[in-house]
Amino acid sequence: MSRRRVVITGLGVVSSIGLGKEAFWRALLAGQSGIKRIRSFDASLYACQIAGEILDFPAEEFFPCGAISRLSRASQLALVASQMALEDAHFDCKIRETDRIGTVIGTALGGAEVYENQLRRLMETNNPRRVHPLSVPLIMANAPAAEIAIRYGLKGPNMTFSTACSSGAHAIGYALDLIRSGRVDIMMAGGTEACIVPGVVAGFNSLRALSMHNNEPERASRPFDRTRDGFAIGEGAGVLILETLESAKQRDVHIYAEVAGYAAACEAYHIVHPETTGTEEARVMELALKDAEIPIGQVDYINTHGTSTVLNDLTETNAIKKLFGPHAYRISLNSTKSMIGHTIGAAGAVEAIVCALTLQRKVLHPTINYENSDPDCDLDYTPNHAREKDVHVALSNSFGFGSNNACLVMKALS
Amino acid sequence: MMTGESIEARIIAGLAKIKKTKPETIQKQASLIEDLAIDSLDTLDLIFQLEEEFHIEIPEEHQLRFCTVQDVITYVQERVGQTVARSA
Repeated sequence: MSRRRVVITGLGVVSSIGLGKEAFWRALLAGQSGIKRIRSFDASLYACQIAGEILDFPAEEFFPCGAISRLSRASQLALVASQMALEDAHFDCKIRETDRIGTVIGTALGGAEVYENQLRRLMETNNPRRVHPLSVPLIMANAPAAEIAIRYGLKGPNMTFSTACSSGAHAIGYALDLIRSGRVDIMMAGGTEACIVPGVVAGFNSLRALSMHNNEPERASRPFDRTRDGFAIGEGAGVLILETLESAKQRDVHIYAEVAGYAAACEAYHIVHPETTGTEEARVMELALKDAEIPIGQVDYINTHGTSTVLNDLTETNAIKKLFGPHAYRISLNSTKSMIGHTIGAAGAVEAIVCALTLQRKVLHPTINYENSDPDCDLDYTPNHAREKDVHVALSNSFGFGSNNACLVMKALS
Repeated sequence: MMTGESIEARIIAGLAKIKKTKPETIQKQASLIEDLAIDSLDTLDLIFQLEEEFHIEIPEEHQLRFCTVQDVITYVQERVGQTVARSA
């Protein structure tokens, strides 16, 4: 029996450079950075004082009458992205058999701000009664997926992936597996993250993972540039509607692209460092292409993990060269993180959305801030300017803390 | 100094927030469970808000007295009155 084909029919994205796919896409093509000095708390004592915050998020408009007080920011972002994705897919859940629709969301730190705020209260008051009774259901990592399902009545599997920076990619891969298996027909899949909070920023600072270009925030995230010095944290959410090709055709809706393959693999190497020869990252890309039954020579675009840390960008370049050989130099690469920073658990989902739009519109967004070439990173990173390209097969790489790698393969529908 | 009216308005505003509705839709004679559909989590949220806002501690056995919105208002007015009286 032939395998069920899975396609993308709806996109919802909430980012520091735009709410909704059109605003987001315009900003990406224009090379606009969303990295600015942190406003949500006083970061003046922090080594890194910059991040990709969503400054114009109209929470009260989306969640009127105080509903916002019962949702972590990660849940809020995920709910807005899911609403956008459903509308984009012309999809009304109420008319469907809803136990055939599931939800899977990736998030690394869940309700981080709620956790910090409640902990601060406890410390300041020394009174456990002053910890809010809703704090646990707001903090828990599976709250965003649960809130989406409750809002839309999605009674299929409801899952949360928390694999740090690859959470969003694993969520989409799992959705693909579930639909292929026949357990469900449609999935809301994505990622959300809202972790620009003092403790998390301090922790990444202490780990020396963040860029310290505090005086030029827009230029801080510079993937593959020789002077890169770390990533910028971003917040955001991306949600995709995945369904069988058959279902999309029956509903007569627009199809962005096919999700053709996926692989998950662990380096089993180090809790934060990648294995720098790139052998392991090459392996996950190879496995994903095997799953997609696509020869490596057909890949013409990779949305890189491209974090702007010294080690990630070097390792990822090594991995691409190792797997693709001379073809690596013909593949176009870019890094969405050059503009929105690293949205951690949302990154894989947001970047899958970028792949879907690239396959649909045949334009590559640039990797901004690419000014100084690095002899060890010598591939085509689409530096500084958007470029038209007839992209047919796209990979999206996500490599997470915990040695946790994911790769998604998407292709234009022939 | 908190007036009776301000206590009432603040409690109704708090209930409206919990029920994600506008304060003017909350009637004083409304039953918390039957009319406002306050569930157990909502009750915990309400108690937390009242304790926080009015600087009182509400023992669990007192919570059983809350049948209507007016019961809550009356209870808080009494408790806040006691607090004021004690500190005077």
